[in-house]
Amino acid sequence: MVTGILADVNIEGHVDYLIDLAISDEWIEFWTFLELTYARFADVGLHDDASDSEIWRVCQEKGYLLITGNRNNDGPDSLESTIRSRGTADSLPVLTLADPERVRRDRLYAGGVVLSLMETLMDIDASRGAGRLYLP
Amino acid sequence: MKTDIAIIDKGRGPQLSTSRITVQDLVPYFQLNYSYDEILEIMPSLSVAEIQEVERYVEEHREEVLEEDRRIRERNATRRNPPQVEESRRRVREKWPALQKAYEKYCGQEPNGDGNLS
Repeated sequence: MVTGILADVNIEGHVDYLIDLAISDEWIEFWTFLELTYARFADVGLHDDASDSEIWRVCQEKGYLLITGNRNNDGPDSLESTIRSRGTADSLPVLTLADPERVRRDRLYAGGVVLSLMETLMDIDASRGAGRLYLP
Repeated sequence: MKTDIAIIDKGRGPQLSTSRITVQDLVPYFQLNYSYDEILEIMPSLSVAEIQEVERYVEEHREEVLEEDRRIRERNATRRNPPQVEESRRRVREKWPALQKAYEKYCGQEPNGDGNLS
């Protein structure tokens, strides 16, 4: 079950921008077909200081695909560590913006992110168990 | 209003005590000379006081922070998706040509593999 997209607090404004693109004229038929919701932390009961392991648990239990950046260390409570220790072949992946600061500065880059996001979502079962995936 | 704002380390690198946002999450925007308002558009859960605390930390640990930024950029530049995921995306493009057309309509021409126009 995939319920929707969850924006990490470190890139929330960028994900807002990408979802605005996803519901624009060019992409709306695909977004509608996918029947996904877009959520922020408060919508799923997470606090702004939630740990990576807590976010991972909520995403897996509630069926959300986290979109995040990747500028952190790989410590014991990190996303990398959580994926390694708790990920299974059925786990939903974590989607990572490879270069988040380009989203609002580079329109074509943002379009490439939306395209790769749609491609991933249209066949999400193929990405289960893959851990961290990069957009675009 | 958040109080006792400090920089701590829970194993993810230096981060705010009041948020999961790390020093390195903000570094690219400092480098781009973003204003507080522009940063708040990207990270609306932050307060100006929290941004200022990170800014103070960066100023006091400049060399260390810039070295870590360089390492992060190198690491991220080499990361790729697993082959089965790229194969899945290729199959989706074949099955749903309208998806590629939507992208072309958005951009006006064909993309290359990096999401940029060729």
